[in-house]
Amino acid sequence: MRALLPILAASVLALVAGLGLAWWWSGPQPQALPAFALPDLDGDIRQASDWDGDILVLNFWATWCKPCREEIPMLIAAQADYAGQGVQIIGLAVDEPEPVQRFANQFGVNYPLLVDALGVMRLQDAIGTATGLPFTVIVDRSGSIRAQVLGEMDRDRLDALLRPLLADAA
Amino acid sequence: MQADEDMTTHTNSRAPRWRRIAAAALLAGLAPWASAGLFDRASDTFLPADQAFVPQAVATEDAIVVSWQIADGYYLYRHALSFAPAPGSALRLGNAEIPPGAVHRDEFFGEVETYRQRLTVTVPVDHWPQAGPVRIVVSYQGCADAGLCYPPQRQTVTTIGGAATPSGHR
Repeated sequence: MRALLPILAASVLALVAGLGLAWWWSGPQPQALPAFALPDLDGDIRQASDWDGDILVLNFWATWCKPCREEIPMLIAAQADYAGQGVQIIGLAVDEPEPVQRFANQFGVNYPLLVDALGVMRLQDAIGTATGLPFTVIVDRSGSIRAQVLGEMDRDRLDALLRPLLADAA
Repeated sequence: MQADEDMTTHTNSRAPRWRRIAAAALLAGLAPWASAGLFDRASDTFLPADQAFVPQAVATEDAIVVSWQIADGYYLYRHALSFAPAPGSALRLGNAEIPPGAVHRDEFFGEVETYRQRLTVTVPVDHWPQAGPVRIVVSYQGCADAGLCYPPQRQTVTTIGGAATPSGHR
C-alpha cells in the first residue's frame, strides 16, 4: 500500500496539471455583452447598439451606494477626457428616476444614465456572478466584455483597462 | 533493518523531485486564474452578501429577536431595516425596537445610522398564529468599507424556537 502511494499521488498531480494546462491552453473566451433595452432619464429606451463601434464603460451604480457616488466624479472626468476617442461611459442605476435626476443635476453627469432597478439588476446578473455596486464592465468596439470590476475603481485602473482597447481600430 | 534503511534513503532521495512535481502541478492548477487576469474578471475579494451579513431570528415569549452577525469591514444601514410576517402568515408584528447606530453625515441623504459587528433588533409579536417556529421576512442593506454596497436584501428567516401555543389559546 505504501509503495502505491507515490503512484497515486503522481496520478492525482498529473490530473490536476492536465486540467490546468487544458484550461490555460484554451484561455477564457471573451463574453458578448448581453442585449439590453433600458430607459434613460427622458424615458427613451436605449440599447447597446445605440453605441455600436464605441468602447463602452458600463457603470452599475445607485444613489444609495456611497462608494458609487464617490466614484462618479472620476467617471465624469474620464468621459470628458476620452470623448474624442470613441469611449462612452453609461451609468446603469439600480434606483428610481427622481434621486438619479437630482444626483445628475447636482454633480453635472456628462454621460447617459439609464434607470430601471429591476432591469439593471437583471443585466448585471446576465453579465456575471458579481453582486454589489459599483460594478463596472468594459466592452470593446466589437461588443465583447473585456473587463469586469467589482467595487470602487480609481482612474489609474480605468486608464489601464482602456489603454489596450484604444489601440483597436475605431 | 536493511529494508528499512533502504526505504528511508529511497524516500529522502525522492523528496525534492516530489516537491518539484507538486510545485509544477500547483502552478498548472493556478494557470487558469493567472490567464483569467487577461480579461480582468470581477474581483472576488468581497464577501457575498449572505456571508457579510448573517441574520438569525429567535422567538421569545412575546417577541422575535432578530440579530445579524456583521463581518469585519462591513456595515448595515438603519434606514434599510424592515420586518414583516412571511407571506400568507397570520403572524402580527408590533413596531421594531431598533437600537441607535453610529451617526454619519451623508452628503446626499443627510444623517444616516450604521451598525458594525453585531446588530440585535427586538420585534414585538402581537399574535402568534401557531405553536413552534414562525417565518419572518427581514430586509436590510449594507456596504463594505473597501468600496462596495450590496443591493437591498430580503430574507425569510425561520425562528429558532417559537410560541408554546398560538395566541388565541394562551
